Amino acid sequence: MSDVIVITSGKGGVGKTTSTANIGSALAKLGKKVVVIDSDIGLRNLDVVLGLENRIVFDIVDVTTGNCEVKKALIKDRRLENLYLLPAAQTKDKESVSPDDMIQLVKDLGNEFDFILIDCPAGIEHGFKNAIAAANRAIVITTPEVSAVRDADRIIGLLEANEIDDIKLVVNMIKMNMVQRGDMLSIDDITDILAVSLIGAVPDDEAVVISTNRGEPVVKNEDSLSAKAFINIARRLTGEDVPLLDISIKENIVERVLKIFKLSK
Amino acid sequence: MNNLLNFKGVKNGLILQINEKASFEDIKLAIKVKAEKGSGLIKNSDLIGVLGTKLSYKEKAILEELLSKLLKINVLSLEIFSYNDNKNNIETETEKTVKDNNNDKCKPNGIKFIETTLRSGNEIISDGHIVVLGDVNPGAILKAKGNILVMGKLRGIAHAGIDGNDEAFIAANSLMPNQIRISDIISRAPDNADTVDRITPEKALISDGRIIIERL
Repeated sequence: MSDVIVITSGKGGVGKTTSTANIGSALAKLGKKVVVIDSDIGLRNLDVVLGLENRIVFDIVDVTTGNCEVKKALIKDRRLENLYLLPAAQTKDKESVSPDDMIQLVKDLGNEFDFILIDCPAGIEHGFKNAIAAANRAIVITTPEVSAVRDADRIIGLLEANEIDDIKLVVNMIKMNMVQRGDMLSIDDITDILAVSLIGAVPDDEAVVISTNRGEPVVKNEDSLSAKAFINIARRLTGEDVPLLDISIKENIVERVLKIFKLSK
Repeated sequence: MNNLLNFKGVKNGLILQINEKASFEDIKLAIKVKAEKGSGLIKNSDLIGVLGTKLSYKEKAILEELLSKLLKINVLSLEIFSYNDNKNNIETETEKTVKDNNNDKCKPNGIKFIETTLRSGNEIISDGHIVVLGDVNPGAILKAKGNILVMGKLRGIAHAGIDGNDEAFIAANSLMPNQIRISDIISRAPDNADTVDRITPEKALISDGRIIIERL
C-alpha cells in the first residue's frame, strides 16, 4: 500500500505548501512514484508553486463529485517523470469535499504510487479533517517561533487523537545566525516541547523564495542548503538512515563565515 | 393618471414602476382604472419587483390583493427591484437563466456586463456573451455560451462556446490567460511565457481545429 502522508502545521505561512512541493519533488527525484494532493480548496497554491497552474482542467472536486476519474485529473509534472499533482478547486469551498471522499479518493489512486502527499490547509477545521482522513503518517511543519510551535503542539495532539501515530517534525525557516546569538528558538528547544522525532531542519533561504516565485521547486537545483535539507527529508522518508548532518554543516558554514569576518577585521 | 403606474417587462417577469410622488390612494385608484381598461398583455405575468417607492407591509398586502384580483397578475415579490448591482445577484440570476434555457442549447442569449476586477475564485457563467470592463486575474474563470470580451487584462481562464459553439471567440486588450478554451478545445500558456505585459488587443478563435491568436 502506498504511504499516505499529510503535511500540516496548524499555523499558516510556515511553509506547508513549499515543503509539500519540495519533498514530493525530492522523492520523485529519488525514483519514487509520487502524487501530491492539494486539499486547500478555495485557496489552492500547490499548482502555482509547482508551476502547473495553466494545465489544470479537472480538480479534486470534479473527482469527488464524480465528474471525472481521479487518474484523469492528475497532472504530470513538467520536469519530473514520477511526480503528479491533484489540484484543489478554486471556485468551490471546503465543504464540497468530505473526509469520506478523501478516503475513497486515496483508495481509487490505488497501489501504483509509492507516496501520496497531502498538502493540508491552515487551521483545524473542515479542511484539516479532510486532509488527515486518509493519511497514515504525518509531517508537522513548524518554524522557530513560539506561536508556530504552539499550533504544532495542538496539531500533534489532534493527529494522535485521530490515530495517526507516525508523526515527524520539520523545523522550517531556521535562521542559523539568530539561533547562535540565542535570539531564536533552537531545534533542541522545539523538539523538547513537541516530543516528536525530527525528520529535517530547513534553513531560511532566499533560494526558496526565488524558485517558488518561478514555479519550480528549490530541489531542482541541489546547490542550495535548503534543497539539500529537503532531499535529506525525502531520503529519511524512504527509510534511509541519513544522519542529521545538514544542521551541523550549516553551523559550520556559518561559523566559518563568521570566523573569516572576524579574521579580516 | 397614466404615468402613476407603469408595468415594465424584463427577462424574468414584470416590474411595477410607481411614481415616487403618488400617494397610496392614487396607486389603488390607478390600478382600478387599469383594470377597467383591461389587463390584456400583462395578464398571468409574474411580478418580480417594484421600482420608485418603498411599500409598507400593510400596503404590500393590499396591493397584492388588488393586483392579483383585478389584473390577474401573479405577484412573486413586491420588494424593491435591483438590477444585479452586486456579484452574488449576478451568479444567482445566471443559475436561474441557465436552468430556464436548457432547451435551446447552443444559442447565446444576451450579454452579461461585469464592471469589476474578477479575482481568483470568481466564476462567471453566462448563457450569452460576457463583457468584462476590468481585469480577470489568475484563478478567475469565465464561461460563456457565446463570446468573451475583456476590456482589460485577461490572466485567468476563459471558456467561450461552452456548449460546443466553434464560432465563439475570446478577445482582450491584453491576452495573457492561464488557459483558453473554446468549445471543447483547450490551449494553455507556454511554460516560459514572458511575464512582461502584452498590451496589444488580441483575439483567440478556432481555426482548423486549433486555437489561434490574431491581432485585432
